[in-house]
Amino acid sequence: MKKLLIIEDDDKLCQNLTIGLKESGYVVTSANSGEEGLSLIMESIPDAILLDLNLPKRDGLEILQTLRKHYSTLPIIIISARDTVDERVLGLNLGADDYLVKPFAFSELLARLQALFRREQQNVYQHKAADLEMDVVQRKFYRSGQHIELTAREFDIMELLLRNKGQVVSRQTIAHDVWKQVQRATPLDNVIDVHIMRLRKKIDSADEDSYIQTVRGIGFCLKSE
Amino acid sequence: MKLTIKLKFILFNLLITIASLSIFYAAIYHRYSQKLIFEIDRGLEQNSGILKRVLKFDVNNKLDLYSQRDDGLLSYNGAPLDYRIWSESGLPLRRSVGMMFVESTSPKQLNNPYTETFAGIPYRMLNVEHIKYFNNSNVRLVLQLIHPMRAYQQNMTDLNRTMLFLFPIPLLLVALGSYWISQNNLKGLYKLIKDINQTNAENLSQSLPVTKMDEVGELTQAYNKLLSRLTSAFEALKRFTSDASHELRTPLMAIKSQGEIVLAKERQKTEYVDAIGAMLEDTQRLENLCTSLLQLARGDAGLSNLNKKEENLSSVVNYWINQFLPWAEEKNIYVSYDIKANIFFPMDQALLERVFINLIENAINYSTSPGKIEIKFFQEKDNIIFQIDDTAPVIAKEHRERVFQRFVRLDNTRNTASGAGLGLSISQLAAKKHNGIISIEKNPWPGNRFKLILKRSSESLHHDQ
Repeated sequence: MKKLLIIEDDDKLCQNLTIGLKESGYVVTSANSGEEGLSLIMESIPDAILLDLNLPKRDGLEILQTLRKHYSTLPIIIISARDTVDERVLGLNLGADDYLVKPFAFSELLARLQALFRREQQNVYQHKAADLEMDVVQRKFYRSGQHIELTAREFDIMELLLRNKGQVVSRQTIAHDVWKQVQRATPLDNVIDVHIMRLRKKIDSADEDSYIQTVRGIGFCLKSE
Repeated sequence: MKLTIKLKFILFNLLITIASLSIFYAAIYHRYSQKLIFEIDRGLEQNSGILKRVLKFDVNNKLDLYSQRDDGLLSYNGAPLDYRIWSESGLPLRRSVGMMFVESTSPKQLNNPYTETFAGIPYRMLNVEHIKYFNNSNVRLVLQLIHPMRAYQQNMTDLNRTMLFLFPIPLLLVALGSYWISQNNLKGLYKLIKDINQTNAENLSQSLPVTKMDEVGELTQAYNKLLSRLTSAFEALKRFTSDASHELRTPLMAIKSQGEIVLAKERQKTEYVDAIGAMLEDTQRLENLCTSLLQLARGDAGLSNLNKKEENLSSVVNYWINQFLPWAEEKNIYVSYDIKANIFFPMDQALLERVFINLIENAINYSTSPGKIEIKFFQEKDNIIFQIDDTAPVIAKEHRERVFQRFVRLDNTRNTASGAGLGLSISQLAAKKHNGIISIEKNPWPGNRFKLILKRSSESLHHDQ
């Protein structure tokens, strides 16, 4: 089990993240200030850190620099309300591995965490879920061994869903990963919906439930069985 | 006391007057003093002649004067003739009565009169050489003619007094004159200050009367123009604030009521899931709205940092058209497009991209089903033009400007799923940041033609911002 450390001064958000991440199978500790966070890291080094920037006393960016000096490979995700391009670039330049702007969807956080840990592991060339199968290298998709022709975007969405099978993938994550949209207010919901609809038409059979389920208010989820 | 324009004006005039009076007075003083001294010197010259004539050696071989009454006879201008007589070797030989108690210094120079002061009194002196035959030889004497300058001093003191007495009169006149002139001319300004001080948010639209067309009049006009610009900006801000609060309240209200209703009694699990999902949807709406508002506010304040790079705009346009094709197909809208390849343009891709996304999305969203969309992208001299024709209900001429305003939705023709009505505002802002503009025309289908024109020339880059 991966160990996470959350450094975040807002109690309610910290509590929610802790609960959510624990339920997703992480071991979570949390700190309300940078100093507390640093002393927790001394005790035991976590696998990744979620770092807020607006912290009491020492700014998050300072903490980030201190951490990078001592633990150069420790994965760090910044979670902050500072949303301009310059601020994001600054955070990433100072050594953060990822930057999530508040408010973010929880599923987005999960996806980024997984991506972060996957980077360390080997690349996955094949995905499987129920009777669905995907060959990432040849960009081929099969259902019950039968080849199904997908467009480039449909393939990207399907891969995203397969990689996170059983978990909710938010529209934000899709817009971010498939269409590379950084700004969240870009109106792509219609485009996403149409692609999902077409995917369903191609892969579902008439007499069964859809493989791709809509989770109201969040996004979509691929059945794992 | 504040150094007002009026005070500065008066002080300046006074200083000028004092300076000119001083120069004037110094000239008079100098001329007058010169003239007096010149007269004294002439007297001394004459006296030297007199003294030479009356000088003799008496029986005892002492120096004497012919005149019985001695010095008294020899006077000049009522003042006694004072003199000293020195030997060639510098010994004092004789002095007049007036010089009895005056300290004596040996003659300094010959023939040139000069002034020397003893006991606070200046004496004008003239030394001349005089050769006298005595004991079969010529004796060389130095005659020192002396004039105590009491009368001169008195004259100069009188002049000073007169001047000192007259001095304040022109100063007073100048001070009063400058006060009057400045007061008269600045009256308009003071009134303007008073009027401006009384202007506040409530009576912002009242323009101030222009009475005279002098500089103050011009200032008033300029102020009025500023005021009218401010008024319209203020109105826009008021409308924006009320619209924004309305748009923010609507999803908030929805979230609140959904929460309250679902908690009001025991429910099935699916109902809870549904309610929470609905609340999340409204939260997303709220979040999008906040992001859009923030973008607009930053754009207005000129805070958005553009990260412009020369990029292939044609491929960006192509890419986004293709992304929207499936949706258009689902809506039974036929899309045709003619994109000139490899048109490059310096752009902040994340920002300018939104214009194309927004325009294409609007066209599909509002076009009738079935319908058609025609997109053209080409370059005309320095203008890069993206034009999109749709089959949506035609926007009336009087509304065409309005749709770019914030929160404006033409509700009769546009469905409510379209968001807060900020899309075109943000697009227009993004276009302007790229030296471009979006306009609307009617097309003959009938439908609307949205046209984005980007100007290439870099000179005018900052004018529209």
